[in-house]
Amino acid sequence: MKKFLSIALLLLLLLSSFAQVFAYEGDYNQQYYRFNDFVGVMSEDEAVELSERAESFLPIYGCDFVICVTNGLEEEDANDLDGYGEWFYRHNDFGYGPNQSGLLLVVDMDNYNFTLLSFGDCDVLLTDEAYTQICNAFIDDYAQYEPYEVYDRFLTNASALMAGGQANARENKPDWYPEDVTAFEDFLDPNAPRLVDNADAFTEAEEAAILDRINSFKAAHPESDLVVFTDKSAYGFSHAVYAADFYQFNGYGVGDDFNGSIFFLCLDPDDRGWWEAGTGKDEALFSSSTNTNRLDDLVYPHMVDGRYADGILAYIDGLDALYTDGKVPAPPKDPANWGLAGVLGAFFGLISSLVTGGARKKNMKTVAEAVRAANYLQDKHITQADNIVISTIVTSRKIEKESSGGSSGGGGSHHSRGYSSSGGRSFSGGGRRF
Amino acid sequence: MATLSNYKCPSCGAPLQFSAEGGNLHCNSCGNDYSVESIEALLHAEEHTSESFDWGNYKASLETQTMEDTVTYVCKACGAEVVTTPTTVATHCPYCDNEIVIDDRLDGGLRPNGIIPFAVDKARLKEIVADFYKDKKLLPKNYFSDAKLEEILGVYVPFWLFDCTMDGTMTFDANSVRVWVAGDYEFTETKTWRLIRSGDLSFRKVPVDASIKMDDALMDSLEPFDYKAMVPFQGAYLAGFLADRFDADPDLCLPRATSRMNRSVEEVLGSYQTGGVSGVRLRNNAMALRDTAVHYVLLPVYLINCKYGGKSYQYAVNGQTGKIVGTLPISRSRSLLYRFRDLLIAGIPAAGIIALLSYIF
Repeated sequence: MKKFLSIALLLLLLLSSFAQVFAYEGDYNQQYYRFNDFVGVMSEDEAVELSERAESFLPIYGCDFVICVTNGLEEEDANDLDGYGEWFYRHNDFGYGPNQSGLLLVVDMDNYNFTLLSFGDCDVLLTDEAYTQICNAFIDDYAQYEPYEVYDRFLTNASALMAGGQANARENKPDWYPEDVTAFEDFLDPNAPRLVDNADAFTEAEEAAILDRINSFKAAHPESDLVVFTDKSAYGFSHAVYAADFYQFNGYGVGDDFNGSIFFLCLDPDDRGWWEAGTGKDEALFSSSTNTNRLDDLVYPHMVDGRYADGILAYIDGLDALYTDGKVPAPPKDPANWGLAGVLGAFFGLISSLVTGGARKKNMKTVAEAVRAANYLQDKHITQADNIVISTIVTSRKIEKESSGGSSGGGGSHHSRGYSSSGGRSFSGGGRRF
Repeated sequence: MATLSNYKCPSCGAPLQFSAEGGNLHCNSCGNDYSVESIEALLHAEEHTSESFDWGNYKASLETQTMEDTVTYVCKACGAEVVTTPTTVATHCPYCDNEIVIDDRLDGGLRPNGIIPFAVDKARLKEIVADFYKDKKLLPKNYFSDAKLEEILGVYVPFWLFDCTMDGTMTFDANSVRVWVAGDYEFTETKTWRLIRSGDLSFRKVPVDASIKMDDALMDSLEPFDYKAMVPFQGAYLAGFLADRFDADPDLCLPRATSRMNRSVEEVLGSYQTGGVSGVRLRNNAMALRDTAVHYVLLPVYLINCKYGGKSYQYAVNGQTGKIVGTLPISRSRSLLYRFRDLLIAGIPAAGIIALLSYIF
């Protein structure tokens, strides 16, 4: 009903376009790229891709990852690279949240020098050991790889160490978290339950149906694992990291690469949403935002109506198609409601007939009294034409500025490629809030 | 003569004070300043207001003789008196279509100053009427027949043509608004203007029909007539046609002519050099008339009377230009049929488009 009324308004009032917004809470400046290549060490497309990847990490880690490649210090007041980096970060208003948390890597190509700066909460979370690890990895990568890969690997390393530090620093987290996530050793547990319903979202019958479907999926795709996990809270973690951590720290996966995927449903009333992610060889399927968006489109109508089990089943069906055919089918369309369309069409037809009928009636009367004599004006002389200002009034009003900042709420998809779990494993995926 | 001490602020009405510092007249109440010249101009422009217009001796150009060699027919139903030549046989009243008879007691009436002869003949009249009805979808079927047209006689309708020159001053109120942004603020400047326009405008041969029975709107709608074709009156022009005798004195018709001329003067002066201002409205009218005159003329008109649904409908055709005007009856059944057809034509595609869009989105 709502959809049809809005379509009717589209026909009559000319609707404007849609816009999707990231649904995560938190404030950060979306105006600038996160990867700033002032030297031209890579192509513009590569720079944009790195920037988008870094920006996708912001809501996942609550931390800004900024890279600046320069050839000399532009800011004259900066005496050294640290000073320049401090100025660059603050001047462009980088950072996440009120403390403007983030990491900044500044590379000076002229002098072959670099510095890694931390701001806000990252200052505390980035231990000396982690700092040294990131810098050493950057130096090693710089010697081996092309610029795009060097900075791509930097983002992976930095985000992994940041995730680990955040997890260790968090006091309130589930028991299945290891005490020191950075020291966690990966393992495989084929007997771990593939459906974990901590949020009590499903009835027994629904659980049985979901489990049955998971088993069918695994039988069809034995090289991949599939986990469905619900919880009442994400304990302050982002959905992306919480899902990845649950997968890693509970021993899910197939093979040495721990291939598989997880679907996490968070039913915290203040943090409702879901996240699907893949790792190992399966990570490639989830690194495409097209795939994750289509999976989200399949799930969304069920989730917003509270039919969580139906949403999960729709997700697994879409995932099966993705694994089998390489793409997710488009969601089924609702059949057209001809009844309501007919009523709206009749209304439009009535308006139209009133307009055309009025014009036809007007055509039947061609008589009107003349009120002017302009046709009989033979001559005119204007001898005076003065315009005198009688009064002048000036008023003013303050222009209200539109509020900037992040928006919260449901409806928009979020996607991230190659983010790290707290244990340092790479995942890709996407999700939506509702 | 107004003195400086009598000058009132045109904005708020408070007394103005001369400011030696600026050399202007200043209002202490609203803070506005005015030059002495502009206040003088405003005072002079609004010294007088024209409550009415004096046409003076405008009838001097009318003929004093009556028409000769004519017979007068009278309609017993509506009282119309129409004149024609003795050789022309008239049977029906051109106004109400009832029977008319000759009345020997009446003379031909005032001799006109001029006449525009009929240029549209019966054959052309039939074509004009057929074209007029052609695209009128709501007209009742078989509403009009050619046989009816055969019976019609053209009528010379009496008109008064008024001449005058309007001379004087009009003042108007107007506004202008300017908006600009400076920093975080939006400023709006609203100015109130007084426009003073003086001049003279000459009108020639403004027509008003001189027959009370004739519908004024119908006659107005037939305009314009091409006065270049006007010739001095001769009785021979009436042969085959009827001529109505005037029953509305020119004094009775003056207000209509004056109103039309006054409206046109207001529009011409009110739109002269008004760039940048809007909302122009008349404040004071101090126009006077001169060079007034009136002419009595006969103008050619075909009048067609029809009845439908118990009501009478009258159409007129300009006997010189062929312009046809009138109010046609509307067939209720046809009106409903076309409304229903329009509803289907617009409604079905609209329903389809709505359904398709909802399916797609």
